[in-house]
Amino acid sequence: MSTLRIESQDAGRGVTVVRPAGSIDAHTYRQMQEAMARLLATRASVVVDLSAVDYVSSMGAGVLIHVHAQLEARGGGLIVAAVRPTVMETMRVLGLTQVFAFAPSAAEGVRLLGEATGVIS
Amino acid sequence: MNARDTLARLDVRSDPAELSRVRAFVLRALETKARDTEAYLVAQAVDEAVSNVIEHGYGGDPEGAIEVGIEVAGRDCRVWVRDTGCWFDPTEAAEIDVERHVREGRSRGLGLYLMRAIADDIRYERTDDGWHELYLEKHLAQ
Repeated sequence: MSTLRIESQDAGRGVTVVRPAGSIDAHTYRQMQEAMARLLATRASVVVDLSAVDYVSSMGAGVLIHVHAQLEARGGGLIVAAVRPTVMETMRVLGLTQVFAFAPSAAEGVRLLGEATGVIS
Repeated sequence: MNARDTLARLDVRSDPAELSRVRAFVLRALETKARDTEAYLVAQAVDEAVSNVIEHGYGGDPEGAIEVGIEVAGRDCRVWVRDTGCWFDPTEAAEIDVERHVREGRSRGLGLYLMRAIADDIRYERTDDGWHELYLEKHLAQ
């Protein structure tokens, strides 16, 4: 059975790092959707660390698309970090490599978001 | 004529909890036949096909029967997804505009796009024994 665990951590500077672990498929995507909805209510910028995610279905990609649109509309930012090469294939096929900002690690994603919001000089 | 290298079948219920088994089955069948990223994409196409059957074919009833078959013949990977639910022909669905999805922040409806983008050939038909059968073909590069 697909499993998904999700942790989130306040990285300071208005940025939250979300760390899902497992597969984001039609069985588990609602967990991701709910975790992101809770964050969207209060946070401006989010790094989604996918280093421990071995599969992202269309439903999982859809959650990220929705989060991206919501954050963009309020002037925040989304960075997708540490994507495995296989999962990046899904992003490529969907054309999302031209849509999302990517970072090689969550730490780098936090740094980039800090720069983008001008909080870090 | 290509030799038939692999022929395997998996029976699952129409329950989203079964999707990880489906993907593992496809990845195992392609373990020595395809590159990791290519095997992953085939598993993705099959996962999306089975997800569609669960949602549209059986309307959320978790007890429907789904059969998945896979064979590799030379560089051709062929997959069948069979069910006895409602008729749902993904080959007849309208084209999907991913850019519009992104602009509008839509979270659903990309599974068909992925299936079509990954597979080189998709067909859907009713078989003589009364099943609906989605056929996916992917030419392997390796």
